[in-house]
Amino acid sequence: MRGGLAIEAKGLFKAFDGKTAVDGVDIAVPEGSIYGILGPNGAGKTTTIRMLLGIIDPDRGERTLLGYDEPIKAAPIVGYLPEERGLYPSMTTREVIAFMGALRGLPLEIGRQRAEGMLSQNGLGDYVNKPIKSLSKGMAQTVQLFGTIVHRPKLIVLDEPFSGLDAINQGRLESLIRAEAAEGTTVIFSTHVIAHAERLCERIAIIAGGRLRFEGKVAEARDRLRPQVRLRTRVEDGAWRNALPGNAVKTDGHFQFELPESGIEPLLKTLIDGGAGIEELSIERPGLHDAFVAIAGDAVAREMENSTRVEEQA
Amino acid sequence: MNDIFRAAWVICRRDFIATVYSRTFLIFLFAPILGVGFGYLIGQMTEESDREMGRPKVAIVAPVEVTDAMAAAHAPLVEALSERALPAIEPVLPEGDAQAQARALLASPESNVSAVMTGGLDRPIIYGAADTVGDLAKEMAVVVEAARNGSALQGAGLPAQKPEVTIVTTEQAGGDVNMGRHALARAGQTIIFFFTIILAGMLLSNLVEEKSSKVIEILAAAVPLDAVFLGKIMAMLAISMIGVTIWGTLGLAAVYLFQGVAGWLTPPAVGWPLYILLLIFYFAANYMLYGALFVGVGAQANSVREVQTLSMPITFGQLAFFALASATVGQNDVTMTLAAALFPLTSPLTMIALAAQSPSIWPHLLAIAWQLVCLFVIVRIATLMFRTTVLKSGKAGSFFGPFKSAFARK
Ligand SMILES: Nc1ncnc2c1ncn2[C@@H]1O[C@H](COP(=O)(O)OP(=O)(O)OP(=O)(O)O)[C@@H](O)[C@H]1O
Ligand SMILES: [Mg+2]
Repeated sequence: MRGGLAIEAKGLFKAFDGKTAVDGVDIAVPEGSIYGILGPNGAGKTTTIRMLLGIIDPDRGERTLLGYDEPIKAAPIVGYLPEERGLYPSMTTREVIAFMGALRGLPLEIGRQRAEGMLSQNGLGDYVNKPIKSLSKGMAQTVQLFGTIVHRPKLIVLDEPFSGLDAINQGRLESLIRAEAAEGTTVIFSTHVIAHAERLCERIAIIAGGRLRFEGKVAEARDRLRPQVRLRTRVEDGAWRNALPGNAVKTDGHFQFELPESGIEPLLKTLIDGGAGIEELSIERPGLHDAFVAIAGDAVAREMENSTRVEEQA
Repeated sequence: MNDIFRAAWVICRRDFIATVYSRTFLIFLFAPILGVGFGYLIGQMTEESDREMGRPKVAIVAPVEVTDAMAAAHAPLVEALSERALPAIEPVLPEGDAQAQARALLASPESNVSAVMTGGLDRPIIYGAADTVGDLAKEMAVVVEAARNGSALQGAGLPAQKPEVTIVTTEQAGGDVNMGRHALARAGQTIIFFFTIILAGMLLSNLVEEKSSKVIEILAAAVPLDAVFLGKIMAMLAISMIGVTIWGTLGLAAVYLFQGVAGWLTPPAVGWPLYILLLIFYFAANYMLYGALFVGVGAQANSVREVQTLSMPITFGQLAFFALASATVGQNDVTMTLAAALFPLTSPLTMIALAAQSPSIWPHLLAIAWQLVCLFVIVRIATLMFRTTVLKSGKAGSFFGPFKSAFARK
């Protein structure tokens, strides 16, 4: 399976009580990569993940998980952090982590040792023997994350792993994801915060309204958009203006337009020769956010931003 | 299959430890002891007050010789029959007009008498309320007759003498054995029923914790659902065995201390050792059958309240099945007994009663095999219900939804 796909899904379809939640999603996650599933609230991210893991069966479509048609068979080498976090409130942090490992086949003793190691390395050493209910929400989430990876899975699936964490812990989680991937582990996570995906992922899937809008490399998503040119001239008007692309708009003294296919140089030459006088010029590669807007549409992007904002307020 | 048992073991071990170290467990352990204690206390209290209040009292208005003779006749009769067989008697010295005195006694609540007898042994007259005086008159006639015999003998200078009855003991008396076995059959059923109810309560509270802490998603992703169910049921069984051992030991100790078992209990038809084994097995089977049902249904609920709502019909069902199974005791309706033995939720109760009453062993072997099959099927159905409802439509969580979809689809 070296160089193969950790997850492959084709045409996943799921409806709840007649209402379509996921409609024909294809996903291919290369082994050892970091993969993001992006979409606003209710897009179908969680439903897709649960189908991939076999917690629910798709109504139609196929999936293989680390080469297994029945996802539960791969359980010993998979780790999963559900969106709704859940731990037994009266168990101690060490026991919870060891228990989660044991569920996936890791002997309890080893699980306990690793739990102690992970907890103390992350400043939670004092909580080894404390019950979960004495932890803050973010700490409990960290403990659950440790329980998710204690058995050193080959595939880690995280549903909204960044939500509920402060900036420092979000940073730690990003490093942890990178470190796991560096060791060859495949990591797949869902998010509605584009920045996380942009920083971490090689490939993404964009889901909105249950449908797959894009699946592929982040760079490909970006390439769907032409780079944006921002230009300021000394002279207000002149014959040179006809050389600007038709879609150029002028806002607060700047012209803004997509980089022409022929590149910037011919245009610049015309402008200089025409005496426009170049005051300011920038060419920006679009970010994933702009790509997202282009792919999923303005409305969806606004929904995403709103859900992010709501989350941050919460 | 191996994986399922390994996973079930992990879940069983966690549930077991979590439960045994919880406060609920102590309550669980002491519940029956407290229950029995309270039962005993209340029994004592009511018995005493029954003795005081429940027994009618007849005042005997007569000279001392007469009341003494009556008392001398009354005491051995009460001893041979029972306290309840005859009214209590109270001597009252005559004062003037007997009839007026009798009416006065009956009129005053303080005297606390149900009837008054005057006229001595020769011409007894009894006064009392219309609805009771007839029975009291018949009972007092027995006492008066005995008192007359006693004083006649005394008048003739002969000692009062009871007829001598020679006692010859036999191994058993068929009538008694049947009665004893019926009692034993009912006792076995009651024990199983009672323990199952207590444990089912624990199982439910455990489920509520699981539901409210959302752990189920982690479990469902990591291990087959059958393993989750199996593990939970096994844990509860292990816990129940601790309870049974402790209660059983205490119970036996109490019986030995206070009664001396041998003479007190009729041995069951299959003999004590096998009976105890069967009792434990049928308890386990009964508990697991209901437990699987509770886990399946209780897992659908989203709140404590819903769990309670859902468990109510099961508890009523449990009572009904208990009634059905106990109706099979001591009667020869083969069809009904067979039906109750075949129906999974009455099978263990019916069979433990059979073990008390009939010596054949093969029905138990069949029953054990059958109950294991039923257990397997019920766990499967519970798992299926769980998969089709909770995991697929966990958000709304309706009361009837689970049943609808579990039976409509697939
Ligand atoms: N168990 C369920 N029963 C019924 N409907 C469901 C269930 N799970 C999801 N849905 C519906 O399916 C759709 C997709 O939900 P899903 O949870 O997959 O979205 P999501 O992308 O994970 O959203 P979020 O960002 O809010 O987590 C929603 O319309 C939701 O109401
Ligand atoms: Mg989600």
